[in-house]
Amino acid sequence: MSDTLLDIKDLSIEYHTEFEKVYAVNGLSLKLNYGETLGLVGETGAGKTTTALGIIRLLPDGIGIVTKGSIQLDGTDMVHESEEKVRKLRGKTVSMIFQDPMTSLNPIKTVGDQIQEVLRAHDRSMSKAELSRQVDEMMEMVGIPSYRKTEYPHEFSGGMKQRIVIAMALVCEPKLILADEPTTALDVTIQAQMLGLIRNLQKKLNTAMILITHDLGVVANTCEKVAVMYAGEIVENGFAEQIFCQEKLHPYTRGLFNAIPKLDVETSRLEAIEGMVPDPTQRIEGCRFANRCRFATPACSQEPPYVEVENGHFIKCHLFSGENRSGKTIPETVSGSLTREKSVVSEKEVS
Amino acid sequence: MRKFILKRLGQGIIVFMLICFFSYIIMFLIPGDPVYALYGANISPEQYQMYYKQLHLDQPLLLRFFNWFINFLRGDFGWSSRYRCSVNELIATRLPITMYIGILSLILTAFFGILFGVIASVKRGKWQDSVITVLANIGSTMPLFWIGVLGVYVFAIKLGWLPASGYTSPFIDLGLNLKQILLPVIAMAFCQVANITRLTRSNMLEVINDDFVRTARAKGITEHEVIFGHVIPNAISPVINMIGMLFRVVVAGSVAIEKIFNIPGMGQLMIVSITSKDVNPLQACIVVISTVVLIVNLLVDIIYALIDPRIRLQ
Repeated sequence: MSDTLLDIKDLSIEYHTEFEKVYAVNGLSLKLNYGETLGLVGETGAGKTTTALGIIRLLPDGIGIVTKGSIQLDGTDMVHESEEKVRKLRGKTVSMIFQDPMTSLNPIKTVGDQIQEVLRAHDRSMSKAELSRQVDEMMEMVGIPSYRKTEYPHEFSGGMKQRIVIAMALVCEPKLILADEPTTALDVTIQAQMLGLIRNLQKKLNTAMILITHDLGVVANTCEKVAVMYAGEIVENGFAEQIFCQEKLHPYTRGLFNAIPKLDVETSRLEAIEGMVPDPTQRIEGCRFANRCRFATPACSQEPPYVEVENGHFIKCHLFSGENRSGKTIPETVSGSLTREKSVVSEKEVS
Repeated sequence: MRKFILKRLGQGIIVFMLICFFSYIIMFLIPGDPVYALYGANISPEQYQMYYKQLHLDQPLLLRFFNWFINFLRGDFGWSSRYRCSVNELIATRLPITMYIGILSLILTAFFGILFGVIASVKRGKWQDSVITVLANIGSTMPLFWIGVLGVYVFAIKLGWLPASGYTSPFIDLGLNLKQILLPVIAMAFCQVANITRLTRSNMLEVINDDFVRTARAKGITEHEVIFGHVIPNAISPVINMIGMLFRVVVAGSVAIEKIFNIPGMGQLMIVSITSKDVNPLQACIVVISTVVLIVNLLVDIIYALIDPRIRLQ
């Protein structure tokens, strides 16, 4: 058996509504090994959640459509396999933790029943006593006393609800967890607890995880690998150390880092990335980030290559292609050498 | 849960007493003299005085109400001057008929309304949805009496499949009974099915897009389990509430339906009592029907609380 758990090749997902087509994911490729943790980073609308829903095949029926590419999950083709087969994988091989614990639990079922439902869905022969024992065990594991299993979601706080959601996602010991901003709806102290909890359980059960977030701090804490998404594609992909040492970075990733407030430097304004995310209803030729990029050149109207700048560290940018491959010519300070006017000019050229 | 039921029961008793009180005093607010109404206008002044005393009309209103209420609780509804028998007897023969037809049509309404609503929402945008939605819109615009008359015209007069009117006890001739009640039951259910369908559909569609339904799908349970275990239980509460309210509509509808199909039920009794100024059976009708509605509403509240744990807290 190979090490690869998840292999996404050239995946494109579109949303077809009555009025328009939205190109949510465009030619995304991604690999994940068993037991690995990947942080999927990007701003709102980058297609992170769509990618996750595509993996577990829960895109809105008839609206979200995989138009291209393949998803191999633990040897199963998640794009073309029958609904019945995919259903059996959900919860058992791949499970998902959703963003908002307040709304992701059924308000009129006891939490114990909701956890138990996952077990029963995948093993109909399990006895009542065994089901009950496993639910108890799982609840204790996420730090909720098991006697509370007969209570309803409204009797729990937000953090407790998220623990229940985590218990539901992990109770069948899946090979892959898709955690879609699991801490965004929680306050900061609970966030740390939740991440700690998820990481501990993940280690214990040897589960791989894709952690979707827009918080680089969370990624630094939790993930071995990082993939940065922008406008439906992965622009940078590598090990966490490679990206967080900030030597060679895609201009967009650099922008994300610069937008983090620094305590040791006095600034009056936070540094934001100029401009807006391109309209997802339009197809764009060449680099999607070019119109916001300070380093943009005429070459950027061509599709940028995927360049391996170091072992396992890929950047999708013209800056790193050809003679620039080593990345030496674009140190961090390069931003100072390029004037604002030049970037405006290149913006026009691109558009 | 027990506290919740006791609380609702207490509220019900208070409402029941208010209904009794108002249904009693309202009889003395309508114009006309009860003595003349009961014994005719051709009595002598001496006779008038005698009957006046006999009816305790010389006592204060509250005292009369109190006496009447005590008798009422004992199960003595008084005497009907129109039918020349005790009101108890009248109610005992007529209430079961109205309830029989009413409950049958309500069961039909609930079953088909929920069924069509669920189908339309699950098959949203497909042909099943379009057909059901169009039929539901047509159905909800048709008045009850019109459907009744139309049914009689088509199935009784033109096709001759069913009797046009009348009522036979199911214990005497079940076949004939079923034939006779078929049209009234369907007529009463027809327009209500449309309302229940529309309400069920819209509630289902609202819940089907909720986050917890996606969570349920992510667990790997079957679509069947998602719909029956998660969507319907969350969408059904307003529908049950509406069915409870429909009970009132059914009772009100019985007045029209029993007239059209000539069924000797509570609706007929009320009409006759009103037109002949027969006070005792009318009061009894009002109180008995209100009590039945009250009990049904209490049951709806309890079912509501059984389904949704959040209600129990209030």
